[in-house]
Amino acid sequence: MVSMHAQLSVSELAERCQKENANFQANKPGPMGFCFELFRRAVVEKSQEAWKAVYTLYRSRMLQWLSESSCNAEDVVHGALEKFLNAVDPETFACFAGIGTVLAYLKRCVNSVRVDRQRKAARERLAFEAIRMNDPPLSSSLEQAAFDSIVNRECSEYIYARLKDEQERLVVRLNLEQALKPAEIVLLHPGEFPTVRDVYRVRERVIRRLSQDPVLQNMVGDRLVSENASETRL
Amino acid sequence: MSECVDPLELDEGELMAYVDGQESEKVRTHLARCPYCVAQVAAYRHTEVLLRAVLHRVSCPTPERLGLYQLNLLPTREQLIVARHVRECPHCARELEELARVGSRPSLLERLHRAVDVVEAVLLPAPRLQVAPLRGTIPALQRFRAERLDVHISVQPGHAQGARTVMGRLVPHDEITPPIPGIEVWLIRDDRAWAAAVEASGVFSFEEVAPGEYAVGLEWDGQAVLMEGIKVE
Repeated sequence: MVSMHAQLSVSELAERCQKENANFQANKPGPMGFCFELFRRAVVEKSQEAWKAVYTLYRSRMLQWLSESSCNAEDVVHGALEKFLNAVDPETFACFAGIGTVLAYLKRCVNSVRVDRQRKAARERLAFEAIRMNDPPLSSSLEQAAFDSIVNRECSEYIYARLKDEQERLVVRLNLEQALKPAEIVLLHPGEFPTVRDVYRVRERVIRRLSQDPVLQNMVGDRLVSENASETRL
Repeated sequence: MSECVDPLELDEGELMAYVDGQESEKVRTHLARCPYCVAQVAAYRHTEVLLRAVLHRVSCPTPERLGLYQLNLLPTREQLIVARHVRECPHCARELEELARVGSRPSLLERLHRAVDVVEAVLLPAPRLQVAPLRGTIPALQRFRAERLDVHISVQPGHAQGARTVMGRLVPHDEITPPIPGIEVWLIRDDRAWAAAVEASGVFSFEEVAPGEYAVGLEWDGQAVLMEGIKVE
């Protein structure tokens, strides 16, 4: 079916896709596969024209998927299409069974814009909580630098590289990264951690080591504190 | 003070438990006479807050990746990696629910799990066959009816040994909104669920299904429809 549709121009496809949608709506039989081919052109052939047609044809449906109270709806639609384009390469597109799966995934891209915002807000809250612990407090000009250091991927990679065994990696990932309680870790990994005490033992070992790590301190702590001190002196 | 007054008094981990709010008379007594450990507790607190900020969910898959996982669109190995992560990550488990939502309403899966606004489809009697089928040659077909919708479900042999494919087809009675493609279907067994989408032909399928008893849920005309007692043997 796709090969037959492949001969159509994007505008012809868009027109037939619109009819296809109308047929679906009215529960009428009719030729199918035009909408899927339109998405295929957009993703696999990276056709800008096809993307524009996708936007025109599916914008209103994407808006329906949003929360009624959602502001910046247009930004969400654009963000979702961008996410779809970035996440779905030709290889992944080959796994889509048809337009149904494409739309189900597009809906997830719409929702993932909201999820991204929630993740960002949670990260910022934690970062500023850490920044506020500095004594003396950082000047406002250094707060942003501190924030950038904290959210820097290099920093988290360095921390993981400093861990010595699987037990330490588990505690860091489950407790510090995902905020699971020690008792929950015991339930998930009773072989590694028979008791809550075992979790605390490993956590104390890791935190003691990292609290004395000069490279890490330089990445997120000392450098900023000393810069702050010199800025305060000026 | 550069060292602990009594290094053998506390076991490794006891200070950390104290930092976590676990009250301990033994730790309190020790801290009352050990300025070194008081400083350690402060340093642990600071480092921990910093580490939580730096590491916050760095290993979590992106929401787009979670979406691909939910629809079984990742390569098998990556599906397994994400599945293992989701089992241990409450944040990602919650986000999977959010990704399947439409607007501010709870997702279909949430409603099915909580049995809120769920219509139970009725299993229709099997049609009489003119000729008795040879055993194993015709997949068992179950026909369900909810309001203005029939759903035909069959279990067929899968690609992997012992695995089955659960296939279904929606047969609406009249005009529908929204149109069929993209309607989501969930295959549910105990507290686990797998998502699929209905294709343009009205067909949906779940591959590589292990034996057991399942339910299938979907949203139709704003209502959650549940079909129970689907046996995969």
